[in-house]
Amino acid sequence: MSRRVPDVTYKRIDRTAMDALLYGLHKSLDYMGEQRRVILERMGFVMLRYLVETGTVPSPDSPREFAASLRRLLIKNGYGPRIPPQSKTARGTHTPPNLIEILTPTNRHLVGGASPKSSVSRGKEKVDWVLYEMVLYGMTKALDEQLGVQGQLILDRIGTGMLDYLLKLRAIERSDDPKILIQSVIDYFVKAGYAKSFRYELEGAPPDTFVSRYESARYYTTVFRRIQKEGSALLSCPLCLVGHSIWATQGWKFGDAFEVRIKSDGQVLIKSKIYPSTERFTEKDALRFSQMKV
Amino acid sequence: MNPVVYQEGVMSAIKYFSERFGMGLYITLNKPYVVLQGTFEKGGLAPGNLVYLDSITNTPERRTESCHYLGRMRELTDLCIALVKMMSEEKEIKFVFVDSVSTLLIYNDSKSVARFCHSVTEKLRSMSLPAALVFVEMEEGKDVVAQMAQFCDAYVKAGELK
Repeated sequence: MSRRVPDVTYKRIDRTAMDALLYGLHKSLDYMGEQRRVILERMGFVMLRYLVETGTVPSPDSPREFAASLRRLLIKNGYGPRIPPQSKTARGTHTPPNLIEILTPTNRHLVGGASPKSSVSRGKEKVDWVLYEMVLYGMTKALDEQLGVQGQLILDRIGTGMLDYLLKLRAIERSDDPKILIQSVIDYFVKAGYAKSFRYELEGAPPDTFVSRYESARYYTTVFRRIQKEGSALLSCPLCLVGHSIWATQGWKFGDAFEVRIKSDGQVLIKSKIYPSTERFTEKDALRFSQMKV
Repeated sequence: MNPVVYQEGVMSAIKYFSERFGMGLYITLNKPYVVLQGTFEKGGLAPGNLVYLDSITNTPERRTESCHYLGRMRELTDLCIALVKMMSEEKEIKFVFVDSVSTLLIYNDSKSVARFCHSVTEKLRSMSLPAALVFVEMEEGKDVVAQMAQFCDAYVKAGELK
C-alpha cells in the first residue's frame, strides 16, 4: 500500500505577493523615521538565519559556499541585478548582504511611503516560496523578539500596506463592501499560489468567532508552526493581515486564535475571537472598579 | 518608549522602581512571566522583588507563589478584578508596573484602553502607590498617549537613537 504524498505542492508564489509584503513592511515602519533601519537590520539577520536553519543555504561558517549559494538563490529568483558586489571586511570575512534591500523592488517606489504604480506589476513572475517564507519568518520573529505580542500591531499595519499596494496595482478590485473586497483578496492569494483554497465563516450572533479553513496552506505548515513552537503568539499570515485591515473598517478587532489545527498536508482550521466596535470598558465598569475594596 | 529600545527601557525602568520602592507588582500583557523572569534575572534584578499578574501566557487561570496567571488576552474588567485581588493578598506591594498598554490595543478600542488606564491610576493613587504604564510608540493609540499624559504625573519619552 502506498502512502499518500502530502498535498503541500506550492513551490513558488507570485512576485507581486512578495513585493506587496515588502511594501507593507516598509510602510508599517515609516513612522519610525531613521530608526526603522535598526528593526529592518534585525529582520534581515533573522531571515539569513532562517535560510541556514532550513538548509536552503549552508552555514556562514563556510563563507564562500554560503555566499555562493545565497547568490545562486537570489539570481534564480530574479534578484541578480540587485545583489551588491561582494564586500569583505578588514579581516577578510564576507559581510552578509542586506536581504531586505535586495528583495525590495525599487527604493523609488517603496522607501518613504511613496505609492506603487501599475508599472511595477510583476505580471506572471514567481519567486520561490522559501524566500517568501524567509521574509515572513524574519519579520515575525524579529518583531516578537523585540516587542513581544504588541508586534501584532505592526504586523496588522503591514496588512494595511499590502492592501494599499494590491489595490493600486489593481491586483484586487476595490469595493466599499467588505465581503466583496475580502473575496477579491482571497481570489488573488489563491491565484498567486498562497493556498489551494480559503474560506471563512462567522460564528455567533452577533459574531464573536472567525473560522478560517485552508487547503495546502504552506505558511501554516512552515512559518506559523515554527513560530508557535518557539513560543510566539504572533500571526503573520499575509491573507489574514490584509483581512484584518479590511474588517477593521467595520470596527472589528481580532483576538487570540483559540483553536488551531494544522495537518501536514496543509489543511488548516483556525478559530479566532473577534471583537465588535463597541466600547469594552464602559463608564459603568470604571465606576464598579473604583468601588472595589482592597 | 521607542520600539528599538523597548527591552532596554523596560529593564531600566523596572530596576529604577525596584531599587527605589522595593517589592512590585508587574502586570505583563506582552511577554510571558517565565520569559520575563529569566530576562530580569540575567539583568541583575533580584528574583523575589516582583510578583506577576500574567495575561499573556496561554494557560487556564491559576496561582503560583510569584505569579497569578489570568489566561491570554483577558477582558479589561477581568484585569481589574485580578489587580484588586492581588493588591489585597500581597500587602507588601509598593509599586505597580504595567507592560504594556499598547498590547491592549490589539483587541480593545482606544477609548476603553484610555478609560481603563485612568481607572487603574486613580485606584493606585487612592492607595498612594506609584505606578508606571509602559506604552510603545506606534501609529496606533496616539490618542491614548495624549489622554494618559493628562492624568499621569509624569510622561517620560525613552529611546531617541543617538
